[in-house]
Amino acid sequence: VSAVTEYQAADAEEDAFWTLHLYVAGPSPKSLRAFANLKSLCEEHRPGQYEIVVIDLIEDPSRARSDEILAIPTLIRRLPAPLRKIIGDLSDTEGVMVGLQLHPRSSQ
Amino acid sequence: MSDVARLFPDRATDEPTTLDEALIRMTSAEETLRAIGAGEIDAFVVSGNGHDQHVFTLSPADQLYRRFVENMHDGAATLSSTGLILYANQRLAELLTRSRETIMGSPLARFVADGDSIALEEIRDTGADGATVELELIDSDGVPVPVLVGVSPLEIDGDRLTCVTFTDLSAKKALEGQLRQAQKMESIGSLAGGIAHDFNNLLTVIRGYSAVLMPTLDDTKALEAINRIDQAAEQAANLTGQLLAFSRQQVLRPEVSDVNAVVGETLTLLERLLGDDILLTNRHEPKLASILVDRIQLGQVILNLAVNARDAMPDGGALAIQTENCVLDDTYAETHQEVRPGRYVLIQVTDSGVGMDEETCNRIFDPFFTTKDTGTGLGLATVYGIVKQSGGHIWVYSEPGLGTTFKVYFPATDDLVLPEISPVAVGSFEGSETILLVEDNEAVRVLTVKILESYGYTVLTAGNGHEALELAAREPASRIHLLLTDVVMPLMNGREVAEKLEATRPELRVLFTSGYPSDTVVRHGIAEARTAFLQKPYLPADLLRKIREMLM
Repeated sequence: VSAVTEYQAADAEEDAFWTLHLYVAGPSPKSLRAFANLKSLCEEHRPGQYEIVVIDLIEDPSRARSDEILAIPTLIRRLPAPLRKIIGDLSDTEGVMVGLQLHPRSSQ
Repeated sequence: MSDVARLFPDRATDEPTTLDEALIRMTSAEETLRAIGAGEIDAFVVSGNGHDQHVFTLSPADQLYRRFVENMHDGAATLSSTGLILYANQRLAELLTRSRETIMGSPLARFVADGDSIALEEIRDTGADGATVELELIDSDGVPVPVLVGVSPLEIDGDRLTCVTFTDLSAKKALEGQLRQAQKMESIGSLAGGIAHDFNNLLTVIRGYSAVLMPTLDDTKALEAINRIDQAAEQAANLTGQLLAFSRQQVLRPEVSDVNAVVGETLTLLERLLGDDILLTNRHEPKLASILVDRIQLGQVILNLAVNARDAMPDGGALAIQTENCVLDDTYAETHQEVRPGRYVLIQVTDSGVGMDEETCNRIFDPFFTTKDTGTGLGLATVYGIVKQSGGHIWVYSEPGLGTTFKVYFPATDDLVLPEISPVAVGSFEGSETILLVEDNEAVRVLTVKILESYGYTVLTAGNGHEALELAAREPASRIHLLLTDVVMPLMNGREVAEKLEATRPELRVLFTSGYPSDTVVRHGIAEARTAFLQKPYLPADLLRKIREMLM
């Protein structure tokens, strides 16, 4: 029997609700891609236990200040604490899992 | 993928120190550089002089198109290859009456009526050329919003996206519905009018001969039988009269009228028709504008609407009749079929009765459509015809259990109301003048000659217009006192016959008669002093009275 690698939330409780803020620049290609990647990741690993708030900085650039956003797209995991920040279009799934502290888990 | 929590897991939840902050900034900068290197970024936030922040996209051309998309009057969205809405403009949020945040990230299917899988498949499988699809979106209240969807697939860096636009078709659909309804009423009207015309010729003959026969009979049984024939024919005449009203082909005698006065007169009549269990209220605007309308027909409209309201309240209730001045503006005209912007007088009849569903509302003005056990289905059809023929508009608003409101609009006029002229009293039907009769229907012609001659008149008869002109040419002008002519005839209509004869005989009186009055009579004939109109079917007494009035 080969080991199957799965991911699970390690630093947060299994049923913790995630609040994710995605900073985008309107429908820019990287923003769209980041959103699609984030959505499928959440659906796969945290179905029904997450909320994505899309913040369009073109509409209101001043909102970049609170989270010190420099590059777009940027993802902030606001809840559960601690706050986590991932920059880019989230296409490196493995990297994003690590960044969000979704650790790989081995099972039979 | 590094941050302070990863570097110092045990300190992650502690209060940040200056060192922590420095580390966060450093790792954040490293992370940004990595993302730039990997080509994962396409915009930056830059602080301006006065702490103002601006977003710079790496492709400035996007800014131009973005402005278009944000300001267009159509909804717009970008879909992922799985049908998720990745981006939605403000207009789409308005169409769905939801915030952009709830729309973005949801599958489009969630906002499509019944998840319309065929339309969604079509959107998903659209080739490079794009396509248009019609479907219904569902807003947050569950109200369907018909839209035309423009689909255009797009591939960016290997991502298969679909750009879609949503054009709101609600207003267009509503107007189309109104137009269909108007066309339906128009065609039923022509049919009903045509039938009424032929029936009226037959009824003129039936009622005419009954009237001729009655005084000659001594046998009570025979008299009784003739009486019943005449009564049945009279009922049939009432029906054809209502059909003509519906088909907007009855002769109206429009006068400048005070609506409040007509409503007042009708109310006296109404109080007797409504039971004690119906509370009648009348709120009228004191300085109501005048309208140009046939007063008797307007009374009929109010009466029919009120009786309809009464029948909708078998257990009693409230009936309110209200008049007011109003202005229908350009916006109103754009969304309401056949309405011209301007000043109108509104008559509103509201009941607290059982109400109607949408399907019933759509058919309420159709002739012979009735929801009552005893109704003819012509009451509201008549109302519709009268209102439309008078240049007015009628709308019905109703919901089951919530009562019904009819709104009737008539164009306001600045003309003044003239005092009524009482009809001339006629003593005897006898006369000795000469009448030129033009009638293409043989049975009616023979009957009319019989009636006129029995009352002393000399009658010259013609079966068509040409015959009539030939006949008249042989007579001196002074000998023909009155032209009695049918209006709708083959080759030459009654109006033309009258015009040709009037050219050489300015004193000639003209009495038009028809079962199917044409516009020429309605528009030009009625107002002139020496002409009159008699609607078929008429009784011998009606004809004789009219002729005496004209020759006096």
